[in-house]
Amino acid sequence: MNVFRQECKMNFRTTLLWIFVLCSLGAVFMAFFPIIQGDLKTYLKLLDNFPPAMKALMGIVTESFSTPLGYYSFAFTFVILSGAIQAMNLGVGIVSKETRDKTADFLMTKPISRTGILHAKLSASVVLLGCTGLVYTVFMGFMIRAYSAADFDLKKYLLECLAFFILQIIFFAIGLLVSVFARKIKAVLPVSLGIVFFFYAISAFAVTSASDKLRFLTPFQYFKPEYIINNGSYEIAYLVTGLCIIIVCVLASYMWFSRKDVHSV
Amino acid sequence: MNIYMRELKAHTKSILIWCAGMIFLVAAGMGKYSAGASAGDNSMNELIGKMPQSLQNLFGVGTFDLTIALEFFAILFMYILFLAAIHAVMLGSGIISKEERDRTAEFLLVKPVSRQKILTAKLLASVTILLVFFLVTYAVSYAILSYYSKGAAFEDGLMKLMASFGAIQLLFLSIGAFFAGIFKNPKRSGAAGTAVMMIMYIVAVIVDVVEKLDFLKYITFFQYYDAKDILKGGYSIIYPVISVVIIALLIYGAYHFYQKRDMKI
Repeated sequence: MNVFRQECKMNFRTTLLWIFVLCSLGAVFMAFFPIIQGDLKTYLKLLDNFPPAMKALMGIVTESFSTPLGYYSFAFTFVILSGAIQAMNLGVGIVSKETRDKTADFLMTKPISRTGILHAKLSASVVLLGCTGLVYTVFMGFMIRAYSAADFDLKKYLLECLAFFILQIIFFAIGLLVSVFARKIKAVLPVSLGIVFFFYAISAFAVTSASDKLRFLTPFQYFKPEYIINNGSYEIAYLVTGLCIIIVCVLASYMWFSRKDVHSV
Repeated sequence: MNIYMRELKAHTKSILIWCAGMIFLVAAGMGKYSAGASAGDNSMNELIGKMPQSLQNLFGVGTFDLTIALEFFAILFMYILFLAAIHAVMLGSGIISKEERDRTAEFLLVKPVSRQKILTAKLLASVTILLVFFLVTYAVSYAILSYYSKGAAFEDGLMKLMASFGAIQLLFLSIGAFFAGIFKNPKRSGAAGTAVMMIMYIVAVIVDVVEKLDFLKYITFFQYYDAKDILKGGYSIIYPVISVVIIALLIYGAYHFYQKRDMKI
């Protein structure tokens, strides 16, 4: 419990900062909604001159952006990106910092097992990420509602937010695994940014078709906001893959960390 | 010279990993390219062409013809630039601040070299590392493009794109170095550099979508080297000029502050 409390305390300020970043990011994107809305209306008027079949086709594309929630899905990509960095930083940092700050021997000599340490650190991280997700969900919920007339679909919005949380956990788990496997991580940021942006770059190419093998390679593609908005559910295959990644990464971290040779100097 | 060699050796592993990541990204990205893909029938293209620029950018359509290898590569290139920016900003801040992070600052500063010489050696080493990364990216892009282009000319376009790649590298390297020159806390310089980069990226996206904010493109390096303008003409010479000025100012600032500030021991 002490380790848990200590971790919460140490990461409290960083988490506050991230909550602020995420909320302002969402707010900035939403602030442009009326402008985009104006462009969209002009374009839809233009569409009247085209044959109805074409109009219908383009209508599908444009319609999703005409509601605040649909537009929010566009901003969501960047929110996810930031959230992933936060989670990856936490995952890579939370265990490796003991070695880096030379506090490992202090911690390891305490009457607490390695699994106990990992339990505490993991639950502290989940709590921190959970708080981030919760505050963000409430804040953006009000934000989007403010722009909606009456068509705010709470269920779909909550599904998107839950997806955000699951994604954070996935990235956290990957980061944890990396940090446990590495002998020593000198600086967290380069490692976590490298991994996150690598996945982000891959995800840019995994979008061309629905049944795309590449999509499995990058967590960014597991929860597509368009799919959630259109169907009100997740794509099961990707959800399962995501959960498997979490389980495998966490289990492997436990196994490896409990027998890892931790250098104290 | 010792410092220079030492830095190169210390970064061997990281440069190998970055190059491997880049090769994978280019290969996987271009793997999605299929020359046979139909460009869609004409009325569809006409519809898209009529779309306001902001909406085109929002939906990610228009501008580039995905059936031409080079233009497909141009879309991939935005992510390549992004990866290069992270690498450069992390390198610039890390190579200077790591002495304080690893508590080797005392050791280094008592050697009979001035701080100015230290900084020069480190910056030269960074530029060498960037050059390696640049050449590897160039080579792999060249090889893959010549495979997919099937005789179509791409050399000229690729050369222009790679020139902007180099410019982005240098810009972000100097941002990183500048922050490492200012901040005493080694963690802070990396975080500040990353924050600036993320803000620039998001501003670049917003500027693409919201035309009214066009003036903001001067504060984001990513808009200085827009693949659209570079390949399709209409590229303004003002941007390279601004870049050179910014790099000079930042590097000067790095020297100025680094020589005067207290070291964190």
